[in-house]
Amino acid sequence: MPHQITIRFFAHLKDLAGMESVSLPFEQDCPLKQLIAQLEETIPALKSRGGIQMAVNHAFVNDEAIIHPGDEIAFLPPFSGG
Amino acid sequence: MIQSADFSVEEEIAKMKAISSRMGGIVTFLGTARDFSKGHDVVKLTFEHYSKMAEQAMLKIRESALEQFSIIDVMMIHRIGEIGIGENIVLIVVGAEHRQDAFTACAWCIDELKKTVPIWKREETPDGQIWVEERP
Repeated sequence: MPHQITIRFFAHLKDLAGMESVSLPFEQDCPLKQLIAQLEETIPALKSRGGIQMAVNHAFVNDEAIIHPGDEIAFLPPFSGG
Repeated sequence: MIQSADFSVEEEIAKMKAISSRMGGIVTFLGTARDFSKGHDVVKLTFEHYSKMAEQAMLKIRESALEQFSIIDVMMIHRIGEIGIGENIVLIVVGAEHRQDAFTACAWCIDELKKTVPIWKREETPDGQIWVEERP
C-alpha cells in the first residue's frame, strides 16, 4: 500500500500498545530506529523492548533497516510456541 | 502446518509410513497442554502466530532437517487458538531408515520450532492471563 506503513504487535506487546496493528502515513524512506523512536513517543511501552525482534515484510531485520512506504513492520516478543 | 483444528497422531504416522517402504523408524514428539506451569495452575492456553512468518519458519526447519540429517521425511503441525488442558498442541513426525537419525532430527526440529517460529502462548490462570515469553 503506497504512502503508508503497517505496524503489527504481537502477544504482550499487543496489550501494551493497546492495538494489534496500525497503519500510518509514510512518505519517505527512513531507518527503522527512527521510526521506533517516533513510536516510543506515542507508545511508551515499546521502550522496554527486551528480547524483542523486528521484522519487515516477514523477514528479520535490525534497527538499521530502511523502511519504505508500503512496508509491514512487526514487533515480535520472544517466541513461546511448542 | 499451522492450524486451529486438532490432529490425529495415528493418521499422521500412517501418512509418514506411506511415504517410503525404506522407512525403518518413525519418531514422534507430541506436545500437550498441561495444567500447571511455574508454580501456578493453568486452566487454558491460547496460541497466536504471525501467520506468514510462522509458516515460512516451519518450512525452513523442514528443509534444514532434510538437508542435515539422514531422514526420509519430517512433518510438523502446530495448533493455534484456544487449547484446553490435555489437548494436543504440536506434533513432529520424523521418518528415517534408522532410529538414531529420526531421534536426533525430531529433537532438533522441536528445539528449532521453539526458537525460530513466531508463535506465542498465553496461559489462562485462576489469577488472570499471562503471555509466556521464555522458552520452557
